[in-house]
Amino acid sequence: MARRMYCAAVGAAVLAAPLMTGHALATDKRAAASDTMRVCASTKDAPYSDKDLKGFENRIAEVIAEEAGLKLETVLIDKDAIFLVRDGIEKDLCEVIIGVDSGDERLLTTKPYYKTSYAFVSRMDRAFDGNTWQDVDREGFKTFAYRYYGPAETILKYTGRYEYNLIYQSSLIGFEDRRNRYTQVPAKRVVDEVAAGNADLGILFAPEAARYVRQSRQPLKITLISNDIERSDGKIIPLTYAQSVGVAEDRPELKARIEKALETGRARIKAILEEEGIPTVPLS
Amino acid sequence: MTLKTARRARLSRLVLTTALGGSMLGASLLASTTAGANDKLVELAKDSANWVMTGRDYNEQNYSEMTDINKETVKNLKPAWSFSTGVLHGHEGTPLVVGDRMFVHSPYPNTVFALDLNEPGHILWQNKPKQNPTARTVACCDVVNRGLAYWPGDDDVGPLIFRTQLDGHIVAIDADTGETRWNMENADIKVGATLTIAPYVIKDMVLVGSSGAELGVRGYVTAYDVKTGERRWRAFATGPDKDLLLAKDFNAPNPHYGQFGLGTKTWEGDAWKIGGGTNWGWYAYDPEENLFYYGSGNPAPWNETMRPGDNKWTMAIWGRDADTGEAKFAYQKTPHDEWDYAGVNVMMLSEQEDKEGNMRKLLTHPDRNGIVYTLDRTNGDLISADKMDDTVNWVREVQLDTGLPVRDPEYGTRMDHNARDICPSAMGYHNQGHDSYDPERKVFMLGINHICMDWEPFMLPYRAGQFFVGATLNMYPGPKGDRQNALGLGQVKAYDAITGEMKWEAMERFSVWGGTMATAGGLTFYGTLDGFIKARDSDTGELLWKFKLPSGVIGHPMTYRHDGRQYIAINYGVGGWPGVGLVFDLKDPTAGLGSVGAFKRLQEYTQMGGGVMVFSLDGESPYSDPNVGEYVAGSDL
Repeated sequence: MARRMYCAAVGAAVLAAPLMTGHALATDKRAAASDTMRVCASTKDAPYSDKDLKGFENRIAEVIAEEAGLKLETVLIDKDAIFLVRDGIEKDLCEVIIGVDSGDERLLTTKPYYKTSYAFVSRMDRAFDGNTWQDVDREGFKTFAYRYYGPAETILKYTGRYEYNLIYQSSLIGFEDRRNRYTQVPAKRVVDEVAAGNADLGILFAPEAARYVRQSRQPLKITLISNDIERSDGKIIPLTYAQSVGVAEDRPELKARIEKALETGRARIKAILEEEGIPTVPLS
Repeated sequence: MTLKTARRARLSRLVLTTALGGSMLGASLLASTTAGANDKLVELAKDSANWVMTGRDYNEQNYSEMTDINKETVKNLKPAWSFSTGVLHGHEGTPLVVGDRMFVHSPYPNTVFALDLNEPGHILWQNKPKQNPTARTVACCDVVNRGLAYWPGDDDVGPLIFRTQLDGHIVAIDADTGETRWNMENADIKVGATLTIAPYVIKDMVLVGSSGAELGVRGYVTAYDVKTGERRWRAFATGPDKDLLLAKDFNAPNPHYGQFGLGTKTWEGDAWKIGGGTNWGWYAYDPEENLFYYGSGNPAPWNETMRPGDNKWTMAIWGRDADTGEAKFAYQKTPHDEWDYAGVNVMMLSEQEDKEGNMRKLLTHPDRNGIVYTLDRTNGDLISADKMDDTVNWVREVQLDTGLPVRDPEYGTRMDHNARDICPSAMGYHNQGHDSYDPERKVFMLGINHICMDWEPFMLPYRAGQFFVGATLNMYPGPKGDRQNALGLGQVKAYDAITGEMKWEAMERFSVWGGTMATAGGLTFYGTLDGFIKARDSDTGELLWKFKLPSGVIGHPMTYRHDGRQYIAINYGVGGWPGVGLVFDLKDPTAGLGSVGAFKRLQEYTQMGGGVMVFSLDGESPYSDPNVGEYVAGSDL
């Protein structure tokens, strides 16, 4: 999926000016001071990252910078995180993104520092016990909240639950016209819909849900989905993803330095993930 | 409804009946106890004083036989009176006139007004619905409405006005009192479906379409009983044949158009269930054939890579039986649309000799894709398919024998290709404008968008297997416009459907979005986005007259006669898709699918407004006698 040729195509989209935080001033050249780590982060990517730097990846960035002995400069971009590589790394506003899929072709990616899966979020009182993607197809479970553009849509399509649910799902973005705009449901909204009983199940990548499940006054349960999707043409759509730090392709030495920091800071990062409540699977 | 206005309404109904009594029309009304309402509507339309439906009569020709205002006298055309709807935003469509009353509609909140043409400064009644305000956010392209329909009544029930509401409802209103008779939910706003189309009366049914293909609405047309609102039939644009209501001999004369099973087979899996194909444009009706005609719109989802196949029967011209809704023919103009060329455009009916000299019943349809199609409306035969401008480039030609467009891959929108200068843009060379046909000159007067676009597809991966497929659209004037200055976005043309030739053409600063009206006085009228109403010589295209309105125009002109005097009326109020940037103060040039960039200079010429402006020779009106409408104690009953 990660094909660079597509990304170069967009010239006309108007960018919000990036907001600079931290002590150092951003420089124009990638030759950024060798003692500085410029991290691109989104203002709209909670719980990973938000405008107040309250996301768990904002904290992981601090740990990595400290362990690596680098000055952290967070370049906050006022757009959805999906634009960070195109509008951050490729425009040389930064050279690091804290959370990307291991093996993302557009970047150098470090050894993964955790691994987890898509998950079901359900209310405890619904006693939902499914843990394969096929389990969405259960009697009495008709309404699903999810985030657009990912495997959650595939799960619903493959179980025949997509069309009926489409109307409800569109209501989560106020029926906005999605034609050529990236429109997304906040992760918190998905969890809140389940807590309120509006959706029978939420389907999300576990890190997106964990914080809100933990914070919910309505007791909720998060269950990792244990299998992958095999498409009719035999292609596998994974539901489990290892997460790495992404580094600009022209900074291999920085990647090595961050990998070392991930080693030395392992316990501190683990603590952040645990505090967040993210269920993980072993890195193997 | 106060007692006072009720009495007034009864009074004016009396006046109406009396006024008609002496004409041939009155006689037919009296004799028509068994005849259907379409007969009455046909009769009413024969009187050039009236404008009883959006396109004046069932032929949808927007043509008037009146000649008082003509090439010589038009220079004396002056404002007679005006009416503000109290609503900003885009005012599409045109008012109706029946007898001595004018019926005016507004965009959301979709208020309807009845005005007394004897004293147009007095509102006879107004009907303002309560609507779910969510409708405002659901609508894609401003909160427009394309107009009203009139049912003339029978022995049991008096005349009715029909209105669609943005929140998806169809409402019957007593034409005399303004009281709501019934209100049906045609589309649920909770499912993202809105209504902007003008309803259409055939016999004792009212037809309504649907909007909201962008949100996965599966398009349909529905017929309701005018008296009760009971549903007679509903026909979908996609899905199994029984949902499409295909007649047994569907497309039998043209089997190469495709026949049965294609509403599901031309889609992947169950994608037809959310396949779009809504219809929010215009209808036409042939009472002899008992067929009505309309176009279904674009397939959904918007991104073509998500819906392999021809996506039938989106983008089709339909001919359906009015009583049963059964489709006699359908011709898909743009199989597997890649450009958003929603083909809901106006259908104009004419009777003309074809190239072989045979008299044919024709249907002419200037499509959003830049092709003007003419079909034999009795069986769907494709007679001609001409580019409405030679700059159309997505298609090299439309083969008349196969009906298929021969595409130029350079201007396709596939994922691995940056397409430059696709003409027309997603807005089409022809959008919702209601155009006209001059039967004396045998030409169609086309209001055209001259806009092209760049289409830059992109795919952005994100984590955990998520990715976003999108496209950035930039729109700008076509090759004949002034690209440096972003002006020259429209044209007016006189088109001969038999020879395929343009009799004349003229460039406009902005799109001619609302459509045209032709008259036997040899004039072609239209409004412009920058707020002019103009009259051109129908023979030469020469500009003879214009007037600057309070705001830009996206509706079409109409004409009526009252008290022996011919009037020209037009809605003003800029908005709609070309006006979204101005109306909602958008700056990103790619917003509104690129409309904001294309029309960035519109704000230098007009601002929002909304109402009707009426003209007559020398500005004569009921108020030419200054005592009309003056306060006299005790007279305002």
